[in-house]
Amino acid sequence: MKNNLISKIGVFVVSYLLISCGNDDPTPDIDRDKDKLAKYALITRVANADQQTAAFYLQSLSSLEISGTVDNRDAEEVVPASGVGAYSHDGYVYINDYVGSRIQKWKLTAANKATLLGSVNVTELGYQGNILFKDTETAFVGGTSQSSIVIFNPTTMQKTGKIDFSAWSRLNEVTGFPATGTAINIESVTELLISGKYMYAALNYINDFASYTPATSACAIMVIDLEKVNVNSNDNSEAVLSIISDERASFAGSWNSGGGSYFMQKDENGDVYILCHNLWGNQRATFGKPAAILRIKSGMTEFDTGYYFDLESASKGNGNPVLNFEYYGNGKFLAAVQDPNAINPENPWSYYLDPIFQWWSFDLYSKSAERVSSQLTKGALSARCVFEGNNAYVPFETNEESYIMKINLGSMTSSKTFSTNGSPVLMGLE
Amino acid sequence: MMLNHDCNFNPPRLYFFSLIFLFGGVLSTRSLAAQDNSLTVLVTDDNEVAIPGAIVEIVELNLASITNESGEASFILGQFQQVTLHVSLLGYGSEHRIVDSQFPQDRIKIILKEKATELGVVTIQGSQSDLIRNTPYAPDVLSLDAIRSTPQPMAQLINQMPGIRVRQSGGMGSQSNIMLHGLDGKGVRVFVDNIPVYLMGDAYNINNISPNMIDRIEVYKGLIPVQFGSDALGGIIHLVSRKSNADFLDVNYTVGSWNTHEAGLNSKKYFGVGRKYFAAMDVSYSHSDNNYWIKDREVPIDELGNTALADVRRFHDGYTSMMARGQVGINNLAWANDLRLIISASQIMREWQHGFSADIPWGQPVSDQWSVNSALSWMKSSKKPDQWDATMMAGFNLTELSFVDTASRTYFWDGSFVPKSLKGESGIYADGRTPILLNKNFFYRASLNYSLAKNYRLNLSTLTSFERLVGEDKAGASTYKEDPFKTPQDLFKNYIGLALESEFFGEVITNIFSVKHFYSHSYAVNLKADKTFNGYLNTFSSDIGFGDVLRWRLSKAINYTLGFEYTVRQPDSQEVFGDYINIGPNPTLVPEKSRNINTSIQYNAADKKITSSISAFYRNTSDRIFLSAISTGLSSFLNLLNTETYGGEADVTYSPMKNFMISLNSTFQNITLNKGDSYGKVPGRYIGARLPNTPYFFGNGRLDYTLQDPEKFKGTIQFGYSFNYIHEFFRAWAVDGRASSKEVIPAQGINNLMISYLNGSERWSLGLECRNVFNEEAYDNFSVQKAGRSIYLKARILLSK
Repeated sequence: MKNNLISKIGVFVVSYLLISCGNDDPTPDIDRDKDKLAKYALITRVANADQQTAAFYLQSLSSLEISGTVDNRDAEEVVPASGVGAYSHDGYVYINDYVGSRIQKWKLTAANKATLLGSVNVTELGYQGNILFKDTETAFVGGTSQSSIVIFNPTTMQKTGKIDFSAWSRLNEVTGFPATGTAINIESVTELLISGKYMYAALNYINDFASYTPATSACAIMVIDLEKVNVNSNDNSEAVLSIISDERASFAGSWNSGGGSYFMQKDENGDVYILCHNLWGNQRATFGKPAAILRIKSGMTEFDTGYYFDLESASKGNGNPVLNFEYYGNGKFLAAVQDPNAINPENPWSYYLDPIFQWWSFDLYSKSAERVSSQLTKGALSARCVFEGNNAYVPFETNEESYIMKINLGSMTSSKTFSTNGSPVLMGLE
Repeated sequence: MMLNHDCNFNPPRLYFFSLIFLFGGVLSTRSLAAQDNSLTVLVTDDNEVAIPGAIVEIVELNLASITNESGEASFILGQFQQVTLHVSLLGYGSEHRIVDSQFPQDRIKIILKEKATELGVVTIQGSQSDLIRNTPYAPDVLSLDAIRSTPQPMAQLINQMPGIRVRQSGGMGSQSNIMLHGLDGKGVRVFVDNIPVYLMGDAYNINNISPNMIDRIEVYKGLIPVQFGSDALGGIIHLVSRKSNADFLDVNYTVGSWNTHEAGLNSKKYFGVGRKYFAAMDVSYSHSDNNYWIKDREVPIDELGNTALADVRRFHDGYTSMMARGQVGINNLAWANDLRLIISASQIMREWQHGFSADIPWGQPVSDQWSVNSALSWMKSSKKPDQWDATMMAGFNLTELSFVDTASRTYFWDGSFVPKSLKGESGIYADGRTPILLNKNFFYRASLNYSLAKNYRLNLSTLTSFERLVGEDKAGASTYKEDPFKTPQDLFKNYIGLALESEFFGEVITNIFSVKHFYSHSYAVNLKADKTFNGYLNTFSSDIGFGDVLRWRLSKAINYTLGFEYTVRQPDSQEVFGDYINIGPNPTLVPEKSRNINTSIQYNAADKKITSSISAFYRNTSDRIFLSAISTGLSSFLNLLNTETYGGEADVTYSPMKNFMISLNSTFQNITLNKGDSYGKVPGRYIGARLPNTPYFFGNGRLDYTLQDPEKFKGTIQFGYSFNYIHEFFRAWAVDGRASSKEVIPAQGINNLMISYLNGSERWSLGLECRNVFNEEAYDNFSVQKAGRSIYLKARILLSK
């Protein structure tokens, strides 16, 4: 017994010594003010050892002008989940766990204290799409399982009502696309955008989600009259004005692609631009049409037939799908352009596992594009950008490292700023 | 916090020098083998039927041997005047015989009388177990003879053994993952009577099989004898079927919490002149609703679906298992000591309460698996003891698994649901999932032991298997566009192993050197990036493994063992083919490889009051295959982890008096990453960090006390207490996140109590068990809570002659 005890003590001592052999890499000096909300939030996604879920680490940054590595040692472990988008509103961080069907609200201070303020369960939506915050009391989110949009109060994190669009439902309709007999099995609101009195909801009509097989080939947008929406009503079907579609391009919207990138943006004129993305390039051949941008002019409820922007031709050429719509003003935005040549044909999962995207900058008005960097990145995992002054802070993720690149949007010169431990989602909270 | 790699020692170098030492030892000591007198003992029962597996000990010389299939055990003896033979076997009364130097040259015959049952003191290391345990591979052995009167399930029994942690994802029948010295998953293989369970269907797995069918559990850790024909990476759990030379009928029934019912019938009957023919039957039935309480689940509180946390019962987790196995055979033919035909059929019906995580419940998915197994077994040994023996077995197995998930509902944890437009709860599919998979496999196993010279034995073993997967998935065809099962997928595997066992200095040192070759060829579906069907892929692999184990008998009471093995595990059919429920195929997998080192010291007191061992182990493992989430609703096996493990375990069993025993064991294992993967899923920055979501310190304790007073109790009463402890561990990498915010699988101490009564005639018994007495919250995996306090009562009738 004595020997047994000694051996246990020995093992613990050795373990302690090994654990104590820590990484002495200097952590960047991050100034954290204890009295106010954080200026920036950094969320990193790290695959758990179970390889089925990921851990997400939330921490504050006071500046993006830092170098070295921002590791996760002093970050809050916020949620184990399979898929997450992150959003900011009114200085708070909202974690949208679309596989766990839960939205969490976090307060993050400049002193790097993270506090969970509440959560709302949206199991009935299936996989929920991107969140739209109207104001501090009203937010909207759609999903895959029901023909409705949930309304919740982002302050109290309680559901208050919904917008029922089942009267407009096309579920079970046989469309014959892409093959004879194909029907619409999934009708999902993936994201929303408000311009003026209208709320525009991107609709995806899908035959099979596991393979992302579409059931229609057009871009479809539901137009909702916000003035008719009672946030405390469980109906609001009267507020749905129409579903408009345009055959020139395919679907818009996503389920938190790139950590929460949007695919609909409005410019300074209130015009709504919609990035139609071929279901992230997965179904490029099925659609047979390029990733493109369509427009709905401010205050209108129809597509602008005079506007069409072929993103593929403007960037890497036809056949190179484009996703994520990081708008930075004056008609310009960054997006990730897929390079099909980067997909390893020997690995059936290369599309999901390898970096196969490059960042490009597009101009909505001149319909032109310019490559930001030749570095390949996992654009579907990490794509949220922060724009500050004339600079963009753009996430990159390869199989070897994750980091934030600072890009001068005037000269398109770039420099690596800081590395992260995990796929980064960077947000400005002010 | 990262570990500094410079802190690590370099075991491969040690391993190399060990090899040189051992080979040198083999070459230099061969000539030292002595020529002495030999003694052969034949052990039979009342009916003159040979008893294999009996332990024959020569008390004065501290020598022991196990009788072979002919009931014979042989010894080489030096000069002596008189020795005492002690012959024993669990289930039989023991016999003593004094033999002097003038013993006759033919065999000494000893007759053992069979006992109906043997409750007595639980012998974690029984006498037969001791012998197996003292072989160079030093397996842990748990005899189930004394445990059958209690309602303990197989997984719980294995979990109490040193160095092992069985992690389950729920109640009865739930998926289990055996962790053994730092390796787990498919790296630890389960065998039943030398045949891998993956060929026979889940009914034989540890979460299903009834302990009443099993004689003993043998656990080989890292170092694996060639006769298993296994490509296991980290070890083997070998379940040895119950054998009896007497006619018997054993009937048992268990009822317990969560509407648990288990019934079993085990019997064997001999026929004909000299009891030459036999027939045996094992039947088992298990059912549980598994509707135990779990804490803090979100349940709806209004029509909008706002939720609050509440304690709820699992509501769709029922499990039913049925199995029947029949055997007919002949003993003692001129050309076969034992020839038998084994046929079994089984069915497992399961409700699926949730997927990998328990966040969102499922309310309707069900699976149904049935298997039909057949095998013909032949065994023959030489007339002269220990010259040679050979076994062959060939079998054909059919396993069909169907899974139905087509409900258009979204469930909450209170069992309520809302309708949804989609079909299926396990993912987002067009028409849900209805795969029906049929796995047909043929296997052939042969093993030959041959004595080259007095102290040198050779073992040559081979295991060949061919698996064919066919099936259909009507609902899933809309996902894959083409039924991936339309064309059969095949997996061919062949194993051949050769071992040389050498004994030196009169069995003071025993050494076994082994070489193994593994070959596989798969023909499996390949998918495109959009998950649609992309034809079939042919892949091959051919790998060599080798190892050496040494046992040094330091004294009569102390053994020292040292062993290493370079071992390979080839991807199995599930990893290559996927299951099309939520696992996609991956025909590009490469074999896992591991370099394993074990060393241990065992002490067995002459009076058998104390047995103990202390061991240390090291594993350097590459290309570990992990099920990894690829995208939403789809996972695939990938070669991901490269790990290094070191650790130690200690166990002691102390019996201060005949009717009291205390047993303790504890294991520490430090599993660290030593290389990142090529996909960036397990980044190199974690090199040196302890693998998360993996227990690293755990232990077990057990107390048994027996009251034997036939006059007072009209039988025997046995009290048992067991305790399982797991130290807390992080779900995610320890180096990430503030400790205060991290998800933790908490430290758990689970207490179990047992009491059983065996009547004086040993014809019937009653056993009562309370598991998790203090209703501790128990988890093996984060968010998947295990059952709280539960009670089981087992009644057993045993008739024997």
